[in-house]
Amino acid sequence: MGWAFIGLNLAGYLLFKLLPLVLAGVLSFAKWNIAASLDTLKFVGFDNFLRIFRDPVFWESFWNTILYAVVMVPIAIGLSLVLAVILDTHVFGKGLLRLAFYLPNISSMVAVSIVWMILFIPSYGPINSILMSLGVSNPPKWLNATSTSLLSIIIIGVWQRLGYNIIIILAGLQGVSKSLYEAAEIDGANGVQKFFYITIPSLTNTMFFLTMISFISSFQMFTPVQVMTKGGPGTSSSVLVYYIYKAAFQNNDIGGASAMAWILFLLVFVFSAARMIVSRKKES
Amino acid sequence: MKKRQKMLAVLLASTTLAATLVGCGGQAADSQGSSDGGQETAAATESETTEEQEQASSGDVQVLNFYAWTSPENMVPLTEAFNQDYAGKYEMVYQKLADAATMTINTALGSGEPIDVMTQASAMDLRIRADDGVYLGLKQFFDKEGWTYEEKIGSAMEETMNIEGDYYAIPYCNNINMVWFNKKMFDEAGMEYPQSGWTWDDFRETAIAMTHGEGGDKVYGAMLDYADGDGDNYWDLIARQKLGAFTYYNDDFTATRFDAPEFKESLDYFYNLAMVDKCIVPVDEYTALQYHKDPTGMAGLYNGKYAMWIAPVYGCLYLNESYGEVPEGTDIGVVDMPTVDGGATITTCYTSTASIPATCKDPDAAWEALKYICIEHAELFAGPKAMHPGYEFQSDEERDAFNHIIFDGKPGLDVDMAMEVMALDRTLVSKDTTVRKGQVGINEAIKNNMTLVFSGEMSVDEALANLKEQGDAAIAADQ
Repeated sequence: MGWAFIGLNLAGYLLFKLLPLVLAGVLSFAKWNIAASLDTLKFVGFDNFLRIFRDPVFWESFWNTILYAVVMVPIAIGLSLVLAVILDTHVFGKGLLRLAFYLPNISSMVAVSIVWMILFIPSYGPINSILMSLGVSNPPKWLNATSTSLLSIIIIGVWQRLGYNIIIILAGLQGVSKSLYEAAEIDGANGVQKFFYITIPSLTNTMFFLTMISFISSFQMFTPVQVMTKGGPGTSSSVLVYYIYKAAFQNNDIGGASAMAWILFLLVFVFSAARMIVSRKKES
Repeated sequence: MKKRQKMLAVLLASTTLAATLVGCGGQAADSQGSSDGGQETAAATESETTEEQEQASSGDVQVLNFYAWTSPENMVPLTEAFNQDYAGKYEMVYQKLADAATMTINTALGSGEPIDVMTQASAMDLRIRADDGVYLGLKQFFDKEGWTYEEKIGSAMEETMNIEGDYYAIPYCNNINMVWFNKKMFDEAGMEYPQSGWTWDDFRETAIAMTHGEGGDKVYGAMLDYADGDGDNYWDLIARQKLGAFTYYNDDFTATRFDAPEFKESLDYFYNLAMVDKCIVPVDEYTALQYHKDPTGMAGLYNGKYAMWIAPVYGCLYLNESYGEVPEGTDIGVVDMPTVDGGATITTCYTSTASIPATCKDPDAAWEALKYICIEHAELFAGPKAMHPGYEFQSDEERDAFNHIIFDGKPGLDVDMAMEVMALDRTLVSKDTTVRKGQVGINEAIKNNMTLVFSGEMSVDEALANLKEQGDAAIAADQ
């Protein structure tokens, strides 16, 4: 009976997840045009890996991916925590605010990216218009400057991630005993002290889960780069998944793309394994 | 309660499993039908298609599968005419691809589907597929017909399509770059309409004169995708006019020629238009507002966001109510591309091509379809898409008849002006290249460096020096 329940899911996993993963592993050591027959597949050893390790754009994409994750995740989680605590208290329009924060998470990222492109237009976009009206004489060029293109994508990432994080943190907050706050109040603790000495320690598990999930998903970020910058200006906003897509789907380099995909897989795997190990330790 | 939950879970699992099996079974049945030669036509409903295919496979009629990304309604004239002309022998069935992307076509070719004719937009993809043995050489069919590629398609195209002495595709269209302009805006500004034989200096003066306003209300003199924003790539237009086909390569294809003065002249010119005169739509604005996509490009022109728009002839296809409000009367005019000295008109063009896969079961039958689509009845395939055929016209009457197919019935278009302009002589410089050496690297280098130049972060000289170095390195790596 147990097999009947997991059978369908297992078959789907084997066919659509594990098999492509193994095939990508094989292809990372080969040169092959998908349009040609399998007879034309030629094994090239570690050539694909050596080639991408020598490619400066690969390294720029790799470090951009890390930078995006390292900057975006803490900001998104920190901001979500503050907002979730505010939303958990008695504020006006609580339900509406929760909905507003969650909407970006369920909106089409393509449509959202196009709207953000318009907001970011340097000459007359709404963001720079506000900055100029506040007296900023030389506002950033956002997506159109190498110094701010990745930052712009991080801003969108934070905005998009907030809703999901807030929902998870709100769920975590429901588990914090009210008696702890009451006891703290009797002891004379103020709001800030309660936040740092009760709320944050009580949410450790939730925050750990969010951090890991956010890191893993930020390593796979693609849509805003594909829609808004195409990795530019230059290669300043190129990230790993975008570079893999370009290699495989535009430049016909299936071998190189598979090699890069495996490197990305290892990166995600390390984080997933770390999450599992730490979770098990906590449980035990 | 627990027993009921268990029952419900078993029921749901069984239903899901049954639905999946039924779904897969349906697919399998369809696939079976496909391998028998039957697949859905875009022009007909699914049930009609199945019926037709059953009839086709039961008799002697052979189904020929034609793969392209054209919208199905534009395919109806072609499939109907072919099926009438070859009644009782062949039946052309149209299979619509999602788009012309490299991987879309590669996966279709690698899927094992019975493809008789496949189309593609990229000459580079064509070359890679030809090298990997995906396509049949077509010289054998030209020989059988007693034709030469050069006499049938033209010498310029022969030069591009000749791959080690054979041909693996025939162009089914030729997209000629022109300058579209908004006559109403010229009238309001009291400016003369541009005339063929104008120079790039004239273009610049006109663009400056037509530019006015500030911020979101600013109206630009012209719009062109000069920084490879996922559309055409016009920063090298002047270099192409001066250097001809295979512009990026030296004579023996062993190095690039980005150090040639023509490239500097070209990039300097467009840099000045964008960054100094600010009379063409800036990159950040046209990528955000999607003006580099053809439908929005034409909409921007007739909505008065800019006075001139450099685009292929098929740009007029988007003078169509389904793309938004269209201009009244004959507001949209067209003129040839400017040249450096105002002498003989030279303009750029690019093609899309059609090929026969090497796995095709009946190459002779596939050749009949290919010939019909690209050479004998281009007016039925390229025509409805507002594209010129891939071959050269043999007479003025043939040219005019084709141009009528392209321009007639386009709301807002000055058809008389378009007919008159297209009747003029012009030299075409093909942007297509089937040279594989370093091409991926060169294209990447262009994209990376041009986005920096037009965001004001790199000088023209620095960009061209980078292009030379990176392009040559890419060629050397491919030797």
